[in-house]
Amino acid sequence: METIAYKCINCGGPLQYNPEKLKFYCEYCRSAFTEEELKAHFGELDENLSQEAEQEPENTQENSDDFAASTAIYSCENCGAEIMAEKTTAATFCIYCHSPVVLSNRLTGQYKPDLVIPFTISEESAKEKFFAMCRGKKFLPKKFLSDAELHMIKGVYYPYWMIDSLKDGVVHATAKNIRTWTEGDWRYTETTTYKVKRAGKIDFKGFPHSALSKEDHNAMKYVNPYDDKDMKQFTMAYLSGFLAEKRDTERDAIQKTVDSELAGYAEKIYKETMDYDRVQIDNMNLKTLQESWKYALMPVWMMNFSYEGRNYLYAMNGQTGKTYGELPCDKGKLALFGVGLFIVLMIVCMLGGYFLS
Amino acid sequence: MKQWLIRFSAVLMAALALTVCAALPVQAAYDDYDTYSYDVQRPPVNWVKVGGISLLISIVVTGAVVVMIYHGYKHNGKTEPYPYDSKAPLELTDTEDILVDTDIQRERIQREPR
Repeated sequence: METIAYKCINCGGPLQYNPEKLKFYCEYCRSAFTEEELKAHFGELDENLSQEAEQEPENTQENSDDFAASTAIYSCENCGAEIMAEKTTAATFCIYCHSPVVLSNRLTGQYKPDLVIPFTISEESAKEKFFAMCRGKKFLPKKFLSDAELHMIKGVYYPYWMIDSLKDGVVHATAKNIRTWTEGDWRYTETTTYKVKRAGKIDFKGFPHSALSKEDHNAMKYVNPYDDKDMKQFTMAYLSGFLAEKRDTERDAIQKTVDSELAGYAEKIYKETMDYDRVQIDNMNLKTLQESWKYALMPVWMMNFSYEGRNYLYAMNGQTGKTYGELPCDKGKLALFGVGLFIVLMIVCMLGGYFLS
Repeated sequence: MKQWLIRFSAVLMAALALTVCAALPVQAAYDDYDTYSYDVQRPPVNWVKVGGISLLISIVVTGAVVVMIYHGYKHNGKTEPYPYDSKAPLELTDTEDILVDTDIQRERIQREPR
């Protein structure tokens, strides 16, 4: 079986995960099911799929040209229509019957995620949070909230590597304390220099790194952090009703980048233990004692706005509501604010100069 | 009557003499101290210097604030993605802080002549 469409136990309609109710919801008969109820019904199916993927190669229609080398064609389980999906797409909707479809063989075997954080913010809540955030922005053009067209909002599960790494490091640094005082007509400056050493273990937990090369790296990076309390063992049913992408970046390809980023954090952490005015790291020796990489799918609401002929892409964390993206800035308002601030500062400085001279 | 007048005059003369004797050293000390009276005058405000420094500070601060606001809109939500202070605890096993040098520099404070 290549695709899964989770069907309502009562009426056979398509099931979608509802972030607000935290249940799987049937749009036809309004039935709602918990994960446990679905596992009892579909649980066996997931186990069979993972075995099939390991034994048999992907069985899809694939053309040989460049375009279709990055796409594959599936059949919708609900209506039989052909669904064309990119190589990294793992869950989508049938464009004909709009049933949610999970491309099961893309999330099995070595590509089966270990963890998932389900959506806790619904589409309506995401829009409300976004507009509420916009209302608080003083330099957003007034017309943005009324004129901006929301072209697209889609809930997507993006693939991340979640890395746990135990590092043991030694840091040598040169630190200085600077003290000044005045005696009579003389100003004294005392500089004390220290050689500082710190050694210890840092236990990095849940360090996230994007496992999808094609998406905006900044958007996927700055919607973090996610809260681990909602992290669950992966079940395909959570993807129903949302889009999902499968990873295309393996551990080997990003090992060096991850090591470099963790070293940067380690330097910050060691520096924070040195209470001096100035600290310069001379050298740092960091070695990895233990490391584990887990493949996780994280929820993101992607919104595409059009305003004054320009597209603005916005990403919202589907669990916490944290957003990242570019907002239009009213340059006229900002310039006016700048002129006002300049005038106020000039008056204050001139008055200060007059009374202090 | 005469004796009362004589006694009163004697007391008066004695009081006067005591007063003069007490005042004499004070006057002498006052005469010895060189006192000068000053007319305290504020130096004129150098408006060119004050205006120049005010302009510089205003331009720098206004420029920095405007650039920060614009950058905040360009990359709205760009905050620390990994809360390392809670998710990456450090267990220190060794610390060393060795004082290697103490340097004291002094410079005369330039004061404007009155």
